Amino acid sequence: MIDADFVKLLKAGDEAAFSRLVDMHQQLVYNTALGLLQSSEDAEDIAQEVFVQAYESIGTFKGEAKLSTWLYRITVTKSLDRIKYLNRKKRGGFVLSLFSKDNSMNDLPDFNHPGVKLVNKERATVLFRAMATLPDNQRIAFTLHKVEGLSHQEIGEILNCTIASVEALMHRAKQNLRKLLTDYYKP
Amino acid sequence: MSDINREDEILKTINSLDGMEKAEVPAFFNVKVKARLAVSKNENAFPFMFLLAKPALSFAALAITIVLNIYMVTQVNAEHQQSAKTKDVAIENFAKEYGMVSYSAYDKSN
Repeated sequence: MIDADFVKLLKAGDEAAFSRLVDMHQQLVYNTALGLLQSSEDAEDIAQEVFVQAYESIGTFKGEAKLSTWLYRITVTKSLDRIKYLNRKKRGGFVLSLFSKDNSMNDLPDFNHPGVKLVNKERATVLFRAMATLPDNQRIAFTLHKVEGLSHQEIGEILNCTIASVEALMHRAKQNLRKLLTDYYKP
Repeated sequence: MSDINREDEILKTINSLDGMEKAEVPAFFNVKVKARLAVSKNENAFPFMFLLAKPALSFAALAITIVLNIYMVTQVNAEHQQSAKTKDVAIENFAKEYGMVSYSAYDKSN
């Protein structure tokens, strides 16, 4: 079924179509949220919120982008909102941030992504901690590319920017990660 | 760790997510989404219901209702007494005005 017919059914409030939407895209939404939030509980919660919002605001979907791109956008926005909320909620977070070094990855919790190969588990845990300290756009671009395996063009469609901008984001993200990891592996 | 080894480790770390698999979506995800959607629809139908869900707000509403009730009861009683007195005085004045005051045989002033 092509997107346009499917969207028509969704806009009409067809529950079977909505159920199918969830089945088709749940992995995409959950994995994106998991990569950004680095917590399975938060990722599940956000993934549910994404589908509720998709159901409620399908009327505003113009069909200019693919349905999956639209869902990616909602997921990214909601995940970033949750990250900001969690950072605010941390007790003394603001006061501590005034006195701590920027980009410190030492006080972040460990995250073991269930999809990472066993050989890479330890390194991936370190990488996720470093990714959590990246600026929002770099973090999103790097996560979508590495965790979701999206091309630069697809990331550009999600972030509403050109391929060159995505490449610049990826380059800066890698530079920042290299800097953080150099500090981390310093003897 | 030598510089070469460190550089190699950094590179391996940056590429450690290559070839990773997708995480499994938690069980009954679709059912949970539908349940959440039902809650959301309910909230939209009664937008102020969330106020009742908070005990502090419920107790505050109850306290205000009780205070208003007590105030109304005392106010009505006071008004009732006031109007009874006013009514007596008005009848007395009317009687005096038209000379309809009947004096008792035992009234000392007569």
